[in-house]
Amino acid sequence: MTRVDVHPEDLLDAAHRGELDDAQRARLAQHTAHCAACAAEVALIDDFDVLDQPGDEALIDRLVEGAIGQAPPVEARPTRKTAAGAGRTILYAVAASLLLGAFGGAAAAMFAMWPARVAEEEPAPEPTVTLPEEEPPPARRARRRVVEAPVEEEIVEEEIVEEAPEPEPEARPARIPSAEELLAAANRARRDHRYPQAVRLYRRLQTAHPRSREAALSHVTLGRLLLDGTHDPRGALREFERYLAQGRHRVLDEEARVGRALALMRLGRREEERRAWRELLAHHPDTLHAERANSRAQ
Amino acid sequence: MTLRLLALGSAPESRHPGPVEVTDPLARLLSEAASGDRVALSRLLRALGPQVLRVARGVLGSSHPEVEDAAQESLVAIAGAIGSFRGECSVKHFACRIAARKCVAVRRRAKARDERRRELASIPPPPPAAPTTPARIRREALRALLETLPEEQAETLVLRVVMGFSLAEVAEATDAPINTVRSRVRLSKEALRRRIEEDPALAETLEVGT
Repeated sequence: MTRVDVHPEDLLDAAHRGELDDAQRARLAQHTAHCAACAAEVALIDDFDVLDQPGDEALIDRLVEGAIGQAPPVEARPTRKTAAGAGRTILYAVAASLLLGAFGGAAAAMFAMWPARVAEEEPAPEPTVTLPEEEPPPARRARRRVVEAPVEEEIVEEEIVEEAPEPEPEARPARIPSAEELLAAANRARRDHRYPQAVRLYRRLQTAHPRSREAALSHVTLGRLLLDGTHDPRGALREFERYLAQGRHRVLDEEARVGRALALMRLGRREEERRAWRELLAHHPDTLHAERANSRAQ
Repeated sequence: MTLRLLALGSAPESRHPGPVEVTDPLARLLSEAASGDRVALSRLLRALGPQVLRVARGVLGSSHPEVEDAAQESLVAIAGAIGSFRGECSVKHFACRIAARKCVAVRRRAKARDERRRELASIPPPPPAAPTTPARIRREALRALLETLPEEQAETLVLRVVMGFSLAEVAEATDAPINTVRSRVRLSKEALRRRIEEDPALAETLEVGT
């Protein structure tokens, strides 16, 4: 095979947009006739052209619903002593110095210190729920971070990020984490591959908030985790069946049915698996898993 | 909100067109989402869903068991990154870049897990599936290549080949100089060429002269 190391990417771009004239088309054809990589690129762009499938809209709805549940809150810009804050402190100090003559040094010094202390204490920390199941994160970690500046330049600054929430004051009564918080913590553990911890958190969610929507959905997520993450098809099957037993026409029915069939496949329960695939095809004829379902249902 | 987008030059040889001001309909949604509006975030992710799903299917294959996980992880990553969007490319390109990176990572993770599982169970790797169509052979070859390329090259290849981005669009989406993108494309195509040389079935689908 002839080696051609210089690839006419500009011609390839124009070809993709349908903007080649005859001469350019001939040049590109001459090149791709001998350059396997460019011939592959041209062919692959066409090969990947059709990736949309019927039923995508419903699938996207489900994916977005799940993603919104897992999405972190939009990060607020870090609050620190700003120029305006510093200015306020100076203003207080000037006021204090003006007062010095009138009220004496001690009073003025206290006045000057007060706003500075307030500035150090701001902002009041958000109340944080610490989930005892979560592994303790490192206490403090320095990381470099790009902070968007109001003008067009980037300010790269060293910032200490408080990773661990401050411990709750002892006097404050412990709060049971909400279903949303438990689901978020479980999903986080799952994404970080802390599977045993994720399993515990999903189960805790199901026990603590059995009637919540999060608990209902968690049966499918936990099922997939047990199936693919911890290789426990029996446990996975139980979770999928619990989800399906909750009622008809639920949002993750299709996923639960696919999971159930896969769990039965891994358990080697062939006849039940066949029935499960048939059931999937009957309820969801447009399923993305139709090819596999048809093949396994035979 | 207006964004700087590329006006593609009429002359194909000129790939450094000047920027034009156009309105990105998703930029306003992104801005609202970035200020904490969850409804706007949901609408934004729905609007980006088709692109994200396309990237996930392109990188993993439609029947890969983790394709939906990859798409959802991409959406979560996009939601987490909206605060860093600086309007230097379209919102869709920004999202595709995040999805490309995430989906390649999911594919690599799935492969590593599969290999580990096989090692533990002493199961030999499965024989390669019988090729069906030339397009499928080429797609699978590209996906296998993505598992081995350096991250930036893999990301560039996904944007260029799976999503059909021009060099300039890849440069904007990845925030890299165009010559860096050229270099990444060249290196990834070299790897692709080596793979084609090693695989006669793949070479046959391309009808390239020897």
